[in-house]
Amino acid sequence: MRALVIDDSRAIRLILVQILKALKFEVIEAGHGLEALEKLKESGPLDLALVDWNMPEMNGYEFVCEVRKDDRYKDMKLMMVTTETEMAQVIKALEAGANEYVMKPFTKDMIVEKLTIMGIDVG
Amino acid sequence: MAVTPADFDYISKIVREQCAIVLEKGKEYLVESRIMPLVHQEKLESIENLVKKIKQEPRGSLKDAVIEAMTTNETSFYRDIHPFETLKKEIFPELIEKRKAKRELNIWCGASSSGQEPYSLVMLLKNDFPQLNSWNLSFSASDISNQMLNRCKSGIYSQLEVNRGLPAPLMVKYFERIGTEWQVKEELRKMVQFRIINLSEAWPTMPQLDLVMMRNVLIYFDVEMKKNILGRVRKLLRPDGYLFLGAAETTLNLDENFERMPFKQSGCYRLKQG
Amino acid sequence: MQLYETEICEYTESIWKNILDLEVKKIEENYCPAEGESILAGCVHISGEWEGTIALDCPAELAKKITSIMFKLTEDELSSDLIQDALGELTNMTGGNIKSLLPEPCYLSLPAVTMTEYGLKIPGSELITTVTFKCWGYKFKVSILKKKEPVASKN
Ligand SMILES: C[S@@+](CC[C@H](N)C(=O)[O-])C[C@H]1O[C@@H](n2cnc3c(N)ncnc32)[C@H](O)[C@@H]1O
Repeated sequence: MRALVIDDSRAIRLILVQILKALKFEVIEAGHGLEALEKLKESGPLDLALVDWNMPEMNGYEFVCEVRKDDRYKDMKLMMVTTETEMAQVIKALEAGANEYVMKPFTKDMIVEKLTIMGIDVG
Repeated sequence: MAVTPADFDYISKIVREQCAIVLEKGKEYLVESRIMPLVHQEKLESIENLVKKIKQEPRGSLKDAVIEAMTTNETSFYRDIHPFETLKKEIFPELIEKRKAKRELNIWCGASSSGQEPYSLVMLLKNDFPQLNSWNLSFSASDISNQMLNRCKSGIYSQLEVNRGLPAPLMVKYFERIGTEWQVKEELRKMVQFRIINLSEAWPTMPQLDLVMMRNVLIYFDVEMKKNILGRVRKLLRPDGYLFLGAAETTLNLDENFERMPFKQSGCYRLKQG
Repeated sequence: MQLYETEICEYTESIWKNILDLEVKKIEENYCPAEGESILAGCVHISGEWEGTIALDCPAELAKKITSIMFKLTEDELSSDLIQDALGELTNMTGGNIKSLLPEPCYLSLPAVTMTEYGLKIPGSELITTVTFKCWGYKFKVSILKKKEPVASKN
């Protein structure tokens, strides 16, 4: 399985990448939404993206909207991993097409449990 | 700080008497790590002093506090996910079909801890089986701990707790934010009757049950108590009702009247048919 | 009790515990950096229905330790941009969570991290809450600064 981790913090990317690699994902990283769209063009549709909200250039919400406009990516699971924790923000992200939402701070277990409820078999 | 063999024996004895939980030799570390916070809180300096105080006041609240400290309350929404998928895809559709004449369903969660398990079920019923709104639904959930009972009733969870296993679409539908925490909406809270039941003692009268959740609690009991509890569940369960146990639990070699259902990692059992 | 003091404690303890596996504890004394001590200050700005800044002031030594935990590197493998990244993200998590308690809608800026000798000064803002924590032998503090209302002109 292949995943994209999008966060402007290298520290957070590192933590998330390690979690996903331990679950046998092949992982691509991006520091903001635009970079993520570029990388997605090269890689083609992936199984999963973990998406931060507040980032330079293009934020995670805009990224989700962009991805959901493109039918090629319709099976890709999108999970926000963000410090935006208002109910209104969660609703906004889900309405834009995000499948799941994790509020920072998170732990490895939370990520794994959320992947499972999205139907991703993590073994 | 280390616990002496005598104090360890005394604590395991009262824990066993009060809630049937077995603390074998080798679990000293567990007693130390769970009881020391209580020792500090009560300003007692050592486990030895705490044991002395319980012996002096055998009816005092300290004994209950020891029981609370020694029980494991670990739980999460939709824990292990597969049992809930089985309930959604197999069990509820079947039960609803079978009970459609009487429109009645009786459910019991026998070790509800802080409430994530009963609320996971209630959300599933509300969200996926809206036809049940007009049914006569009796849903009770119980635990031995008063502290847990209060948490169940309040339906209030921290951000970390709602981050664990709760699908975001259900969170926005059935929760409200209050300050830093999240509360289950009242319409769901009032669907469940929460109460104290000590599984190792006599149980209150209950209706014949269609579904019993008894997950991750038998594991703490000895073989006799496991048999005893399964035997009483058997009498309460309707002939075509279902029992769910935790991932590390089984009826095998304990009660031969149950058979395991072939659903993926669900811990689902029913009474042998015919 | 200062505004949001309990909530700041709750969030800070949770962030440090879950991301760094560190226990931090609120202490009563105020963190006043010693003369010449170098401090890293992370801050995020909040705009919208409420305007102000959330700041995290922490001794450079502690920032290094945090960074080495987050990146799983030894302290001499660290560069200043890794330290800024780590402290920036902690500030972002703290600020984002506090934002959720403020009147909606509010918007969070990206974090900025600066090295100072006196702690961060933000002109035109007043300090409304500051909570000092202890972690290992170090102190650090989390503050909420509210932008001052423009003074209404006379007449
Ligand atoms: C690990 S939790 C399981 C929670 C939930 N069923 C789950 O699977 O996630 C175990 C619970 O059993 C309760 N318990 C322990 N001994 C009990 C007894 N004798 N009677 C009733 N509940 C008991 C504890 O208080 C605790 O909340």
